[in-house]
Amino acid sequence: MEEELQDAVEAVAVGQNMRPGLPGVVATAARGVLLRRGFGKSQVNVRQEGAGLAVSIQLIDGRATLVRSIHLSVEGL
Amino acid sequence: MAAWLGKTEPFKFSWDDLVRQGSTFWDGVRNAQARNNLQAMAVGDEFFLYHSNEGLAVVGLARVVGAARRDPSADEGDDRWVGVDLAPVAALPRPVTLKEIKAHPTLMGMAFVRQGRLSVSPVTDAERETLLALGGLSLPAARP
Repeated sequence: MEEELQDAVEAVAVGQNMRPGLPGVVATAARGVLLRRGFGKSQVNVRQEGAGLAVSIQLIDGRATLVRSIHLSVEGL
Repeated sequence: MAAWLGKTEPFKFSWDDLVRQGSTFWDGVRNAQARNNLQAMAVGDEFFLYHSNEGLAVVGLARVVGAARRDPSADEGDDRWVGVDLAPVAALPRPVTLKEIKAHPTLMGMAFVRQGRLSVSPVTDAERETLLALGGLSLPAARP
């Protein structure tokens, strides 16, 4: 799933100028993959890291327990 | 010419990003009142940039260089949301902190203070003059 997430966030971010709405676009792209994979509850945080973006994803189960963390890096903005 | 204030988390998009790029499209707004404020902006309006979450200060002054147009970051077919084009004018030599704003009689009533979740809000003439004075930036009057 990491590869699919990485592809999804790169598809919307690579080649783009940084702008206020870009982190939100990246988060939405990641959430789309998570939803398709059946992960209805997640926290996606996007922040700048150097010249790129760091994407932190936390998958949460029905009892609000963290079941998995995924960290992605997007470069080439 | 009117003045506005926009909030941004600097770890997502900062004043330095705006200066480095020379301009940006201020997008990602998903609040109807903030959207209405974006739609009310005209080319030439001033736009104070406030760092939220980290920094908590007005850090720079930009100018609207492109009026509101559809925000392409919104879902396909969702034409409700808009953004504007901004270019930097100058950094405030001395950032004006939220603490100062809340303590200043002219600034404590600013729309963005009263409505903490409003990401784009109007700035009155008096608020503009005060922000510029506190920030150490000298510019002509906003509304000649």
